Amino acid sequence: MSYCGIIKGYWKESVAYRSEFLMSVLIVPFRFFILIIIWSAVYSNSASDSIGGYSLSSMITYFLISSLVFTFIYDTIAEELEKEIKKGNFLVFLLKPFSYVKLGFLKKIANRSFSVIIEVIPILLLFLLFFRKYFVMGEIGFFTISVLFSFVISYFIYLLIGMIAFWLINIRSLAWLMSFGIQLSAGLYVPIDLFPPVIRSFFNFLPFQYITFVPTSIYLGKYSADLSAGFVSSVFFPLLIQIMWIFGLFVLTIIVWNRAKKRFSGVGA
Amino acid sequence: MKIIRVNKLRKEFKSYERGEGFTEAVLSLFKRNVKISKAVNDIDFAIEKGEVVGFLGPNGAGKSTTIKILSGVMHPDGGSVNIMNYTPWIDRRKYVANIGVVFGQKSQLFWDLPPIDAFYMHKSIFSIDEKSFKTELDKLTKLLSIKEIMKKPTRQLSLGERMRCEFVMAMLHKPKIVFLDEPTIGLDIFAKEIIRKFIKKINNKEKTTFIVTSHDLEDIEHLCDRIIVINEGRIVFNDKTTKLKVNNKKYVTIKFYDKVNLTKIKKMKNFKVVKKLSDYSVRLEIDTSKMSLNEIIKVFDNGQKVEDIEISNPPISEIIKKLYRA
Amino acid sequence: MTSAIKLWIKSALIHIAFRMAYRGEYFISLVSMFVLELVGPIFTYIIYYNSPGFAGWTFYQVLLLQGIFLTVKGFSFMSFMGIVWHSNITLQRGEFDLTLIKPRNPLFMFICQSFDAEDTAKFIGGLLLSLYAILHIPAVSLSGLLIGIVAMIFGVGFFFSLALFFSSFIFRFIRSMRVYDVLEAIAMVGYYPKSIYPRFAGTLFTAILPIFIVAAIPAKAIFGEVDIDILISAVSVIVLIALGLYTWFSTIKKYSSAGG
Repeated sequence: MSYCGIIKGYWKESVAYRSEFLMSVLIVPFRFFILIIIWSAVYSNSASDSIGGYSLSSMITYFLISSLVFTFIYDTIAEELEKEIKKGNFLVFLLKPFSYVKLGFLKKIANRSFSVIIEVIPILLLFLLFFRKYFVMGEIGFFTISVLFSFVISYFIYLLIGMIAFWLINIRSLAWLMSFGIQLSAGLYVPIDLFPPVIRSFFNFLPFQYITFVPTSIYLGKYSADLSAGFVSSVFFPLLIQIMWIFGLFVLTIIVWNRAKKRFSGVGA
Repeated sequence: MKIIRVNKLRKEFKSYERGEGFTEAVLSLFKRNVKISKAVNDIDFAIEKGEVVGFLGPNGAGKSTTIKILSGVMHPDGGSVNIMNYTPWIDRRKYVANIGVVFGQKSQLFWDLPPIDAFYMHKSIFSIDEKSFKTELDKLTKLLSIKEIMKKPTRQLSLGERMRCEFVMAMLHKPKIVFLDEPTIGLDIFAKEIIRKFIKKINNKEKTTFIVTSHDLEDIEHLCDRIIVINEGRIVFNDKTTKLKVNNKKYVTIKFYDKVNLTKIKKMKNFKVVKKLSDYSVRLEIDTSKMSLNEIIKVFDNGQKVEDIEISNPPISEIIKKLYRA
Repeated sequence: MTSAIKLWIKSALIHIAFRMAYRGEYFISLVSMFVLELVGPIFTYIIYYNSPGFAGWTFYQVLLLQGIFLTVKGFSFMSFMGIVWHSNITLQRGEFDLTLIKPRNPLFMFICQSFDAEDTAKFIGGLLLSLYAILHIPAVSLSGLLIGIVAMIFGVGFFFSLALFFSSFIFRFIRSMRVYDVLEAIAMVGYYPKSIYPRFAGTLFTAILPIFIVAAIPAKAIFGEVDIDILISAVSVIVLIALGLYTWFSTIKKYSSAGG
C-alpha cells in the first residue's frame, strides 16, 4: 500500500467538500463570541476573579484550545462504518481485515490535515484578531505531543462505536448519545474541574478526558513541566496514561474486530 | 372531444458551463458561460378524450419535460396548454385533483407501512368522500387483485405487486386523465400483462384518457391507439400506432443453397440489404409499394436457388430508431 | 380548514407509525434527542454551582428560560422544521414533483410530509423541564403565564420563518451548507437572558432577528416583567414570516420552471 498515494486521495476528497469545512470558520467564531459574552457576565457578577481555578482569560482560552483540539481529532468513522455495514459492502473489507482500520486512520490523517489548514488556523487567527485580550499563551511542546496522542485515542474510540453496528445495525441515535457523553466528559462544554467532585471522580475512570481536557490543561500549565512537584503533578503522568489508553483501546479494537469477523463470516455472504 | 390541446409549447433550459481547474473555478465566480438548450421547441398536438396515447423519444428529447408541463409540475416559457379548460401550471391545485400520475421509478406509497395506509392518506389529501372512496377502492382492488397484499408493508411487496398498488392509489379519486411514466419498468411479463389489461379495461369502461411514456415498445404497441414521437424538442411523428407499422416495408429473410452473392444482390433495384446473417442467408428490406411480394419471389427464383424464405414486418423498434435519428 | 388540520394530524400519526416499525431505535433516538438538549441546562448548573451566576437571575429562572426554549424549539422542530432537511433529501431524489401533483398548498403538503417524530421528545422534555423550574419559582401570576404563552407562540413563528428561509436556500442553491449548525449557533443566543448581551446585540436579537421572543421574553413575562420588547419582537416575527413565505413560494416557482 502506498500510504502517500492513499493520503493524497483522501485529501482530494476533503477538498471537494471544502464548502462544508468553510462553514466552521463562520460558525465557530460566532460561538466564541457568545461564550465570551456569557462568561464575561458571569465573572462580572462574581466577587472573585477566579471561578473553579480559572480566570476569565484562561476560561475563554480553555474553550478556544479545547474546540481547536476537538476539531483536530474529530472523526466520522463511526458513521462511515455504520453506512458500510448497512449497505453490506463491508464483506469486501473483511477479506482484508486490518486494512480497513489502517485505511480509516490514513483517511483521518488526510482529512484532519486539511481541516487544520482550512478550519483550525483561520479560526485561531480570527480569534487573535477579535478577541486578543482573552488569549493566554501556554505550554506548546508537551501540548503537541498530548494532542497527537488524543488523535489516536479518539480514532479507536469512534472506531469501536462504529463497530457496534455489526451487532445493532442502526446505531445512529446510540452514536449521538455516546458522542454527547464523550464530549461532556471530555470537557468540551465545561472544564471538568468545574463539575461536582463525585462526577469528576467518575470521569477519571473513562478515557474521554484524555481526548480534549488533558491536552488543554497541559496547554494552560496545570501540570508542571518537570518532576520537581512529584510525578503525579507533572506532565508526564497524564501523558503516560494517554499511552496506556492507546494500548488498551488498540487491544480492545483487535478483539472486537475478530469477533465481528467471525459473526459476519458465520452469517454467510 | 379534444381533452388536451397544446399549442406552440416552448421550454428552454439554461446550463452553466464551467471549465476544469482552479483558475476556471475562480473565473466562474465572475462570469459564467450560459448554454441554452431548447428542450421543447414549439410543439403542437391534441388528444381526444378516451385515447391512449404513447409518448416516445430518446432520453433528453423533451419527452419528460412535456409530460411535466402537462401535469402542472413545470411551467413553460411559451405557448399554451388547455386541458379540460384548465391551464395546468396556473390552475394547478384544481387541475391535479382531476389527474392521476404513476411514476415507474418514484413511489407514492409509504415504504414501511402497508399500501392501505397510503390509500387512506390519499383520501384525506384529495378530500374524497367515504362512499365514493369505498366504491372505488373495492373496484380497483378487485381489478388488480391486491386484496391480500395491500395490508402488508410496502417493503415486503414484489415490484409487480407494488406497481399494482401504485395504480390503485393513482386512480382512487376517479381521475379523467392518467399520466404513466415508465409504468412497467422492471416488471416481468405476467405483471406487465395484468397492468396492460387493467389499462385497457378502465379505458373502455370509463373512457379515461391515458398518456403513457415508455421505452418498452411492446407496451406501446399493445396499449396505445396513437403515438407521438418527440426528438430534440420537436414532434417527428404523431399518428395512429397502426400507421407506424404499415408503411409498406417488409423484411424478407432468404436462405440459399449456395453461398450468397452479396454484390449481385446489392446491385438489384428495390432491395436493401439489412444484414448478412450467414454465408448462406441474408435479410433484405423491400418496399411493397414498389414491388409486390410475388414479383420479388420470382426474381430470386430465377437467380440463385432458394432453400427457405421468410417474410416479416420490420420491428417497430427499427422504425422508432429511424425517427430518433431523424 | 378542518380538513387541513385533520390531514396534518394524520400525517403526524403516520410518521410516528413509521418510527414504531423500528421501536427500539425510535425509543433510543427519543432519549438521545432530549439528552442532547441538556447541554444548556447542564452548563447553567455548572455555572451556578461554581459562582453566583447571572446578575438578576436565579438558577431556576435561567432553567425556566432554557426549558421554554426547548419547548418552543421542540414544537417547531417537530411540526415544520423538518422541511429544511427534507428539502435536501427531496432534491437529491428529485421527488418534489410528488408534492406538486397533490391538490393542496405545496407548503402545507411539504410540512405534512416532513413531520419529525423524533423531536416530540424535545417538546415534551422541554415542557417537563419548564414545569420543574416553575415549581421552584415563587411569584408566578396567571396573567404573566398567559402573556408568556403568547410570546412563545410568536417564538414558534420565528422558527417558522427560519424554516422557510433555510428551505428556500437549499432549494435555490442545491446544497445544505450545514444549515443545522447555523441554526444551532443562532439558537445558542436565545438560551440566555437578554441582559448579559451588549446593547447592539440586544437590539439586534430583539428587532431584527428576534430570537429573544422564543424564551428570554416569555420567561421574564412569567415572573411578571413585561416591557416594549415583546411588541417589537412580535412585529418583527410577522415581518419575517411574510418575507419567508414570499421567498419560499417564489423559490418553488423557480424550481418548477427549472425542472428536476
